Amino acid sequence: MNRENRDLAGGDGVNSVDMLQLGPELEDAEIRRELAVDFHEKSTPSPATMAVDIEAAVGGKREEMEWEKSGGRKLLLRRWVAVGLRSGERREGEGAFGLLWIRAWALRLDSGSGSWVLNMGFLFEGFEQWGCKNGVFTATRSEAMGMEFPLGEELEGMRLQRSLEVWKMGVVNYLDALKLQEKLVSDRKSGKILDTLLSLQHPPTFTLGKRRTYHNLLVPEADLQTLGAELHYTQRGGDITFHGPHQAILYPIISLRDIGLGARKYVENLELVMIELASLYSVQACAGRTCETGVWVGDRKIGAIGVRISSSITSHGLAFNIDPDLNYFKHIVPCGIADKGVTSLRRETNKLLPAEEVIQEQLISGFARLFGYSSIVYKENVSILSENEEIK
Amino acid sequence: MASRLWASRAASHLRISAFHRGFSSVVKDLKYFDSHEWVKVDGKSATVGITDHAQDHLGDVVYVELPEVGAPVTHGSSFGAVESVKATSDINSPVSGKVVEVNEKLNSSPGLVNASPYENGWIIKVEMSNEGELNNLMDSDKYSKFCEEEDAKH
Repeated sequence: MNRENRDLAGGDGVNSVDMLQLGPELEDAEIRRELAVDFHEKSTPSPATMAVDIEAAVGGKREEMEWEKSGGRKLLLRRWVAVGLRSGERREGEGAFGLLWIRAWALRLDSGSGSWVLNMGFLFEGFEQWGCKNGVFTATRSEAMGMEFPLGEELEGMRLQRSLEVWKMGVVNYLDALKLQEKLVSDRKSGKILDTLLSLQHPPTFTLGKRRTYHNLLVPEADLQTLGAELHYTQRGGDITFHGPHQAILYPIISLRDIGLGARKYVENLELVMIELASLYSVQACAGRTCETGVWVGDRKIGAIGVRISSSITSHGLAFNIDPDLNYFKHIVPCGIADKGVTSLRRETNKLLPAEEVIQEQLISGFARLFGYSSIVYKENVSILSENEEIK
Repeated sequence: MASRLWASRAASHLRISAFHRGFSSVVKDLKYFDSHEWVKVDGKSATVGITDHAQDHLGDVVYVELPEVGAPVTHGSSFGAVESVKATSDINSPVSGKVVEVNEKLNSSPGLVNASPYENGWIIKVEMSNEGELNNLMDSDKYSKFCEEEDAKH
């Protein structure tokens, strides 16, 4: 047993005697396998049983695992097979489970949003007992939600799966979207739902952030009605901004703590999402310099960010100008930054733009990719009313 | 090398001893909350602020929303917020009680939170109603480990 294995001995809730028998050290190359996970319900009458086909990309091996949901949201893993860790080799239920393998193969099942989602991840949070005896690894946890995190660069190719639930919502009134986000934040905090992303647009709306920078509104509030716009003030960061049709909005409701991101890194990633989208249309955009968060083409702003983080759960998000009516921006000092203009994708690109839905989907998949989600689940039957009965 | 990092991360997540790498600074005799706030206890009075780890992950603070003097605070609940990089982040109180003083300097110099998170960047002073809550907090060593685990996530 080498030094590292000895360091890992002990710990709460671990059957330490078995765990000390760590598996052989694996070379990096042997870990580099891309794993794709399919899942399907094996027997319809019993949704509690699911079979998973795990396909190692190299060698095309398929292995089956079964586990059962027993009572409430408990997940009991009966046995699992380590696949693809060495080319052509298969290990089943051996007494010597390396921590490495457990990390790769511990599974959990989430039914938080009414759809079966398979996630692979690190399971040690919330585990009540686990151990390895007679070649069978079992783990029980009392909550379906667990901690998961993407592996670092040195383990490229071996990805743990995190799922993102996306709501495509069309044009949504600002206040309705706000109330929905509040509910989703609360649900995310309590673990009722997974990381969720709202993709939508707003009718003409001006919004203020927490600092209530009314001085950046250049027309009297009363005039806004004649313009056909609403004004709302919010708890998000950032200054005054405008939202309107043909501006793509993403509101991620995700747990920053689960992915180990702070506010700064989160916002940088949101900027990157928009920068990448712009580049799809050969528009060179870049992040603002200090104090000028957002995405710029030259000194014209094409994307805005305003975020709220509450107990590490995010709400609000980003707004990307596909082709909104830029005249509305004349009535504000956008984001409080005078003598800088606003622009849109339409203005900056000489490429033919596809339907907006396409662009919004590119934004969604860019977000999922940048934040390390490996699967996107589109929520069915999205309706503000069904989610917020109490609004109307 | 890679497998060593593996082991370190795995160990972090098992919450057992791992290779230590100290990044953010931690002050010895303070108590810490898992949402990255610190408490300095002086009798029944508690001074609260956010940690170096927190300010580093937030970016430059441009605005601090302070509660009113006299407002109640509850252990684990938000009492204010900081804004940085267009993100407002709630600050949670590690203790319950009543706000007896707020750091007015933060209105004109919110950057104090970044520059001096444990001293001049203090945020509120609380008269504690339940000193027992302090037992739920982490000491500096536990908090250091906690930060390592969080940072190992990505």
